[in-house]
This record gives sequence, C-alpha cells and structure tokens, in this order.
Amino acid sequence: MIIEELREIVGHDRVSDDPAELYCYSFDSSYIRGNADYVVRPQTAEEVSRIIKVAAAHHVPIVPRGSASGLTGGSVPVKGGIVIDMGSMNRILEVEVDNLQVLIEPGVIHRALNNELMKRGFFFPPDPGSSDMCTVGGLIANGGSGMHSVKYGTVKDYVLALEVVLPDGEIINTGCKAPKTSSGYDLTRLFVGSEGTLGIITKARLKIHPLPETKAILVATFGRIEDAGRTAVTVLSSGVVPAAMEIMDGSAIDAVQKIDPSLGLPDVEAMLLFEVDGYREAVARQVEKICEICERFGGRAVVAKNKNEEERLWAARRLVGVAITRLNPGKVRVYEAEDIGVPIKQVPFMLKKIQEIGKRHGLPLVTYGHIGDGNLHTGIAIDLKNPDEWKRVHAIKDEIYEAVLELGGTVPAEHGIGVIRGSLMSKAHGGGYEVMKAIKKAIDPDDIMNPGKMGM
Amino acid sequence: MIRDHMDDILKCTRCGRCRALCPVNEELGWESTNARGRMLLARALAEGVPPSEAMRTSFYTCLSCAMCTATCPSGAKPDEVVEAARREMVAAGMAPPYYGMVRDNILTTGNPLGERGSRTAWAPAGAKGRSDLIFFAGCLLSYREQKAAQTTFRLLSRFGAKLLEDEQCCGSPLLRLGGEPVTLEHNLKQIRQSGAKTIVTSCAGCFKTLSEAVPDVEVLHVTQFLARKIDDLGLRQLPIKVSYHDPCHLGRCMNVYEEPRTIISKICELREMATSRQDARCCGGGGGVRRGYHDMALAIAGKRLREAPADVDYIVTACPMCNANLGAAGGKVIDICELIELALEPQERVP
Ligand SMILES: Cc1cc2nc3c(=O)[nH]c(=O)nc-3n(C[C@H](O)[C@H](O)[C@H](O)COP(=O)(O)OP(=O)(O)OC[C@H]3O[C@@H](n4cnc5c(N)ncnc54)[C@H](O)[C@@H]3O)c2cc1C
Ligand code: SF4
Ligand code: SF4
Repeated sequence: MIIEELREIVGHDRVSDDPAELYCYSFDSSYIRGNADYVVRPQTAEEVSRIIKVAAAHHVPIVPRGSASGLTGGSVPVKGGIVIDMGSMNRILEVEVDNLQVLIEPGVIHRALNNELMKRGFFFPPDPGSSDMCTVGGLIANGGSGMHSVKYGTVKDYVLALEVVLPDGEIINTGCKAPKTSSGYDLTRLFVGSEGTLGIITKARLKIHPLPETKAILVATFGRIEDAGRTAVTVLSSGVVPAAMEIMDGSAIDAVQKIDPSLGLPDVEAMLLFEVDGYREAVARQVEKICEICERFGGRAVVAKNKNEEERLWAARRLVGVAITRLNPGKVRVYEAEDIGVPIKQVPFMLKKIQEIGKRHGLPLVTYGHIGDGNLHTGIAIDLKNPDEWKRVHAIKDEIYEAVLELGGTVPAEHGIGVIRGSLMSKAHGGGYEVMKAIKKAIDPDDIMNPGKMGM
Repeated sequence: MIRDHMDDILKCTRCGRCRALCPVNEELGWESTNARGRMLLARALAEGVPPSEAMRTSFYTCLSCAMCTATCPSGAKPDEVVEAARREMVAAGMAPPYYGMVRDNILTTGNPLGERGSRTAWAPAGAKGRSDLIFFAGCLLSYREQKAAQTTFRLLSRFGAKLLEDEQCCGSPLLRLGGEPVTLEHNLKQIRQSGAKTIVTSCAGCFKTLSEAVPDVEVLHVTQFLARKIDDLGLRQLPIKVSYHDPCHLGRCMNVYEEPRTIISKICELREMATSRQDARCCGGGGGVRRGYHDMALAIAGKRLREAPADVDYIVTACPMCNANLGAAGGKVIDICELIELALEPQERVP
C-alpha cells in the first residue's frame, strides 16, 4: 500500500489521503483543478528522495507544491498521484553576507527571507507581487521575477547552486559557491523555470544584494495610456536605470484604491510608478530626469512623501491583480492572458492593442505590469458561472497571444507555463520545444515528475 | 445555508495571502487548516460534498481572528464563511462535542461555563437597576475574573452605571461555534427594561456581538467609554512600562485601536508589540480554540508573548479571553481596567 510506505517515510501525521484534505490540494490560484491521491509533507531531502522512489516503483505522478499561489495550474495534480507539499522545508540555513549569498530550503516564504536579510542590510531582489505568500522554491521553479527586475534581473540571475532530487530519487547538486563558473552545461539554469517537471528542488544557494543607501518613489499620472508607455520607453533609453517602473491603467488604479483608499490616487487613464535607488546624489539626479521626461509626454510626476506612503503604494501595487475582483460585484478575476512580454519599444503599441481586443469582445481588460521589462499583465473579471464570458476570455487570450508572438515577445514573461499555456509551447519554440522534450525524456523517462505541465 | 454564501466563497481567487497570515497555518501546516483551505472546504460543502471529520477540524481550528478578512485583497471574508460553514456542521450533527456542552450549559445556566452560582456574587449591593448606563459584565468576568469585574464596575459606577437584573451570555460563544444565540431575546428584553441608552462591556467578544445585535442602543467597549472620561478619572502617572495586546474582536473586527492607547499613555509608558493594531497577532484563544484545541491555543499565545518588548512590566489587554489565554501561556498580563485601578489614588480603589 502506497500510503503505508509514505507513512513509513514521514510518519503518520505528515501523510493524508483524506478526501477533504485532497480537495484543498486540488487547486492553485488558476482555474485548473485536479485530484491528488495522497499529500505528503516531508522535512528533508532524504525523505523527498524516498517518496520519489515509492512513486517511481508504483509509476504514480509526483507533484511538487510550494504555496500554490501559481497562476497556471503548475502545482495542481491534474494526473493524480502524490502531491509533495514543500512548505515544511522552510529554513534559512546560512546567511553569508561577506560572500553575498544565502542558503535556503525551498519552502521559505519570500517575504520571510527578505525580512531576515533586511536585518543585516541585505535583500533578495526578485520580488513577486506574491511575496507575502509564495515560496522561494516555487518562484525558482517558475523562473519568476518581480517589480525590481528592470534593474536587478529575474530569479534566474540569482541562483548560484541547487540541490535537486531527480525522478529516480537520486540527490544531485548543481552549480557552486563561486560567483561565476564556466563548467559544463548550466544545469542550475535548466532547473530554474522547469516547473517541477525535471526534479524537486530541496536547497537553493542564492545571491543577495546590499540594500541601497536611499530610494525615492515617484507617481506619474497621464491622460492617455500610450503616453505613459512612451514615457517609460524614453526613460529607459535616457540612461536612467529605475529600480522599478510599473504601469497601471485607470481600472488598475481603481483596484489599488480599493485595497488602500487612503492613498488618494487621482482618477486618470494611466499611472507610472517609479522607484530609483542608490547613492543620494544619483537618486536626486534620476528623479529630476524622470520628472522632466514625464512632463515632456504630458504627465505629472510627484515624489512619495515618506516611507509610510512608499510602503503603502508598493503593498497595494503588489496585490492589485487580486483586487480586480472588487471592481464589479459578482465578477471574479480569472487568470488567462495575464502575463505577456514584448520588446520595450512595442509596449505603447501593445497597450493600445490590449484595450482594443478587450473592447471588441465586450470585456474590459485591466492592464498593469512591469513595464520596464516589457512585461504586461492583463486582468479579466467575469461571472464565473457564465459560460459565454468564459468563451470570450479564451478568445481574448488567443488574440493577445497571437499579437505578442508576432511582435517577437513571450508568453509568459514570469508566471510560467503550467497547464494553461501548455498548448503554446510548440508554436512559441518550434524545434526548440523538441529539444526540451528530449531533455525531459532523458531525465524523467517514465514521466512521473509533474506530468501534464508545459505541454509535456 | 452555506450555499447562500457561494458568491462570497467564489470571490476567493486562492491567491494564498490569508494562508500565509493565518496563525493556525504555522501550527498545523495542512492546506485544510489555513484560511484559504477553509474557504475551499466551504466551497466543497456548498458543492454538496458531505461534511467530514477533516472538515470539522478545518472549521473548528479557526480562531475567528479575522486576519484573513482584514488582509484579503479580493474582499472575501473567510472568517464569516467559516462561521457559516460551522452552522452547516451543526445542522449536519457534525459539530465537535464541546459545542453541545456549551449549548447545554447556556440553556441550563445562562453561561457557557456551566456555572450555577450567582452571576453577580462579585457585585456590591444595589448594583442592579434602571439606568441610562448599563455595564454588561459578560460570563468570563462574572465567574472567572471577578476582581476585574469589580474594578470595572467601580469605575463605571462613578458615571451611574448599573447591572442588568438578569444578564445572561451575550451569545458570542454559540454564534462563533455555529449555533444560534439562544439567550439574545432574554438579554434584549432585559436591556429594554433597564432603560439603557448606553451599554458598556469590557469583553471584546460581548462588544462585537452586542454591537451587531442590540438595536437603538449605543454599545461601547469600556476603553471607548473611559477614554471619553479620561480627565475625570483622576489618573496618576506610574513609573512602569507596558505593552498592549489588541484583541482581534476589538481591533480588527470593530476598529477600536486608539482608545486603549489613549488610556495607557495617560498612565505610563507604552511600548508596542512587534505586530500591533490591524496587524496584531491573535492571542490564540478565540473561536472556541481555547476550549477545543488547548495546546494549540497555548502555542499561539506563546508566540504572541514573544512579540512583546523584553523589558515591559505588563502586557495590557482589553478582553478577558485574551487575558486568560496569554496568562495561561505564562504572560504577565493585566486587564486595562486593572491598570487604571493601579493608577488611582488608594482610597479610590476596590477595597
Ligand atoms: C497575487 C499574485 C501576484 C503574483 N505576482 C507575481 C509576480 O510579480 N512575479 C511572478 O513571477 N509571479 C507572480 N505570481 C505567480 C507566481 O508564479 C507565484 O506566486 C510563485 O512563483 C509561485 O510560488 P508558490 O510557492 O506558490 O509555487 P506553486 O504555485 O506551489 O508552484 C509553482 C510551480 O513550481 C513547482 N514547484 C514548487 N516548489 C517546487 C520545488 N521545491 N521544486 C520543484 N518544483 C517546485 C510547482 O510544481 C509548480 O509547477 C503571482 C501570484 C499571485 C497570486
Ligand atoms: S486572501 Fe482572499 S483571495 Fe486570497 S486566498 Fe485568502 S480569501 Fe482567497
Ligand atoms: S479567522 Fe484567523 S484563524 Fe480563522 S481562518 Fe482567518 S486568519 Fe485563520
């Protein structure tokens, strides 16, 4: 009996096959659902390895899971099997500030890691909107990023080394402690963004960054969304490297206001949120430059008054995607076409195109995102019980993806493929996808690692 | 019916924020025993999945601390959905055994503790009667924290407060567990007969429940009432440092944050806990958890106590449940009215 074998490994109270428990593990933040047969909560890599050996012996799927804040069905057990909840492996093992690195277990919550690092004057820069809830393991497995990626890069730029349990239970180490290496295939990067389809990450060594001396936040408002887009492009080409540059359209601003009405944001068609950081003099100079460019495009930039306002602006921005549900009673935000990336220069065009597509299908699209990386998010809220609205969501998605790929962009830019974008892989990567499938076959010949994801 | 809450349940986009902030998640770690999991199981119930043992554990390990509702970006209200799910469990005969005990106690004795003695044994003669101002003592003060009951009543008596002729449980324990407030009608009648224009209570649970249930009468927490009278109290400065624990049902549920702080700051130095006001962690005792999952209640209380600055003389609370639970976990806790009493001239104190 599989359940007996699992209990043998992790103990009675860390395995469940209770239907109510399994129900809770049948979701993530997407609309995908799938029923697991068992849930296990291991505490060590050795336990993970032994669990995988049980799964391999019985040919049942293994589905690694962080906080299930993913938006694609990535951690949903669509083919049943054993869900491995990594949440109990949540220790920060070593903080080596002199070596600018930290060693963690994958279940540590992103915010908890940064809280710990900040005490020592450091931070882990890739900061997703889901910082409060996602695990760092899930972020690595999704190849995610965040608000500060325009200056600091995405998670893949920060992973030095990984400990991974392979689909046959073997535990391997990739990478090294040195800041750079040119030794062999880059296995570390292979596992970053592999969405649990190649193995389970059980430890990660990450680069960390000293906190900047100071920072400033600017809120710039615009009457036309394309002007915000042009401003963003111009700021980047002017030599300013903002630490963050976020865009929100009028309805996203409304959603932010719903989270924190005391922000008192103006009723405008678009807003850019800039952060610049570094040495005091440089920050002042960059603020000046950004204000000047905003004005050139008809915008109005204001510097946030104090730390409290800065923090509240970011807190509300991080969760704007969820708050879209609050805009219309009876409508709930669904995640489709929610994450696209286009070349920076095409951002203004894409912003217009998104609005046009939404209008044509009669569903307003809320647009926001990390405009500095060309990464836009679109939010759709519908009546979940209305099949016609679902149909329109999928039509909108198809048109947006078509447009993005035509521009040489990417779908997705940070949220991963999971289940909802599996069918796009071949179109997006052509022959490259065949290579990916061959790699998958070589590492996981029996297809037990998170099957049904990435179109595999 | 839980089905009536479907729209609220569907507001949950499963982002997981409440999961990360739910204090029970840290203790138990299963998806079913955090706020998001409870929303999902409420959905399962609404979709017709029969109630089960695991659902019972899920719903009845909720502290009703409202951290989830206060922080949900989507505007969902998991604590209210949990209460609705508990009602469904009660209707299905799947409530935990202590639900029946609490209900029987209230039906037979008027309090959830099953105490048969006089509810006002602590009160001075002539305490009951008609007045604009009524002190609703609540069950815990009446039977378990009688010193605090005396202190609070003595303070309120200065302003003419009286007790109800026959006060009974406010209804909070049963409501939180998924039952009906069987004593509400009785209390409403008493309140009408008392001629009360203002009801003051020092229990956060009574305060929330009465505020929602009593029409046409002002319901105040004792800290709100006394903060208005602060200059009439004759408070002395004390050379001590204290911290303040925001009770969930007073703070997050009812938005009373400033008044307790106004009072404390008038008396002594106030040092905030690591989390405070809307972010304050729960004491661990709410939602029936102290009764049903005592060890977990104490573990959560222990974490809350570690949030207090090391060098404070007391942790002040404004709710007898928080007081009891933090005290049981080893905290040096006092009720805010007892702190006030310490600051009074000796002749003003309860003998
Ligand atoms: C409100 C909100 C805002 C968001 N904002 C951003 C954003 O700004 N940037 C961004 O990049 N993403 C964002 N996301 C989505 C993002 O994908 C997740 O929040 C995060 O990366 C997933 O972490 P998780 O722990 O929840 O992982 P899960 O959702 O549980 O899993 C994600 C994937 O990783 C795999 N996985 C998890 N742990 C491991 C492991 N230890 N080893 C191997 N595979 C594993 C799973 O199988 C799955 O395929 C947001 C989501 C929400 C709800
Ligand atoms: S915070 Fe709100 S939307 Fe997010 S999981 Fe909890 S209830 Fe659902
Ligand atoms: S009320 Fe508190 S304990 Fe209950 S689900 Fe919400 S956060 Fe968790």
